[in-house]
Amino acid sequence: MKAYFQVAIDQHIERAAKLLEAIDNSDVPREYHALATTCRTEIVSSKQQLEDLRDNVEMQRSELQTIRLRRFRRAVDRISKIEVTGIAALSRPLKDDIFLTRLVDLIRQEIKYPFLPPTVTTLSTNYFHIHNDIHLMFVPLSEGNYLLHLPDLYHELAHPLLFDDHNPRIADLRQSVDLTWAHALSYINDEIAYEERRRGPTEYLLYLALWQRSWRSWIVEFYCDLFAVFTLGPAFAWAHIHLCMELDHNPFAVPTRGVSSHPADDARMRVILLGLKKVGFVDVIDDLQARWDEYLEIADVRSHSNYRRCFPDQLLNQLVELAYSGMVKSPCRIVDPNVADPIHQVLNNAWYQFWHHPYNYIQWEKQAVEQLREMCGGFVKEASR
Amino acid sequence: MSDTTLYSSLYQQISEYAELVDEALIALISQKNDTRLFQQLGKMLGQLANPPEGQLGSRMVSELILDSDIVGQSELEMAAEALGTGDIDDVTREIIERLARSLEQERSKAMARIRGERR
Repeated sequence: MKAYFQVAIDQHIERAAKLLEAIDNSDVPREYHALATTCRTEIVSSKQQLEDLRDNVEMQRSELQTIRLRRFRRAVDRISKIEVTGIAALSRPLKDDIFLTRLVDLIRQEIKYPFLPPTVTTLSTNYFHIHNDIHLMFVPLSEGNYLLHLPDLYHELAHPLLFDDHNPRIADLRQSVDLTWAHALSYINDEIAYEERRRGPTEYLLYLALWQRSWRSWIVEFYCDLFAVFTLGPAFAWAHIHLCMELDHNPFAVPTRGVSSHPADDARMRVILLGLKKVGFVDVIDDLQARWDEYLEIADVRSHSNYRRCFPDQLLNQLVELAYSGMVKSPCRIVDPNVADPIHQVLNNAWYQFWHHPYNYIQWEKQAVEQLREMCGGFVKEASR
Repeated sequence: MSDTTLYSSLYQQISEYAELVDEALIALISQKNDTRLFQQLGKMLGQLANPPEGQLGSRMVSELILDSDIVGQSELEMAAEALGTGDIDDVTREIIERLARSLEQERSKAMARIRGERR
């Protein structure tokens, strides 16, 4: 395969050089500078790895070819990932991307988020998500023209906090995550021991093993939901209902065949409501619960015993308590019903308008988005709606 | 509602581990006694076997590796100790080779999940 590596590596080195040309573009708006720097560092590093695989005489030895292949794949995948994420965003700077990047920065300031803000791109084909490694958040193309899903920006902002190992200001939050994990493992281990004692159907042991493996990612998602609840308040709960109404997911789903990355939507709603109660939004909980129950009724879905066993009240209560204690010790501003920060007001007021003035909502939202764009700097005002 | 966020967080860490393991394997195959590198790898294997508190990414990667059953916790502990003391034999090298395969498998799976592919 010597010839293969020779040509393929050369081609990828050339590709990396072309991508560097795209990054080193003086027209890149300043909102993208951090992203451009990160992408450049990553591409240069991958290019150097490829050059080493090509030029290092030692790497030609036959007994090192398996390692050479692994290193080749890693470098190629890294370039490919940066190309389809960071560089794709850099190559099409849109007003909406700049607006949303500035909006996230304003949110960061309001909630005293302890990290620098990510860049935002409207290139998403899969709802909201964030690439932690390059600090790039993806949202759907036209999301910057509407308000009802924007509370999910807060959920995504929590992911980098949970995966950071270094910032001492969020050490207590990380410790809360550890404790929650220990509680979840202990609960599942107790259930496994119970099943082994009673010699019941073997399927249950299989399910419990899957739940145990799933809970580690579920804790991340629950914590991100609670971060959004503790910093934004009821608007996040409404956004959760809104998303569930739009997607055909079983809200009581529990894994029975493979590991799942996201907990059941009903369990998330239970955690969100417990979180809202914790920060003093008792008045809206009945209303949210009633709307959620209506949703479950019209979706014609019911919980089952496995669901309650997978997401017991006691464990969810512990999770909320621990997340709250970690959050109050972090530098983040915790929301309460008296908070009147501008972005917080707009996003929560949107849901008030939605339910109380439904016939005027569309018009109201257009004006509210215009005002939000003004707050983020006049030139990102978009007249295309 | 996307797996991308979770797996992009893990991808970088898995790749860093994989690079260190391969660098050490090259040194072992080439019979180079790179004490600093072996000690660095020993520390990493120790963390994979017993992840430190408060490091969510390390813990999740550790669980992925141990769940895959290609290399066990006690094997990682044994290899970590051997690398730390410089007493590296064929058994240690074989454990490191299996770990390299496991990391590559998990890296590839993580990339597939980031791209929205299901495996």
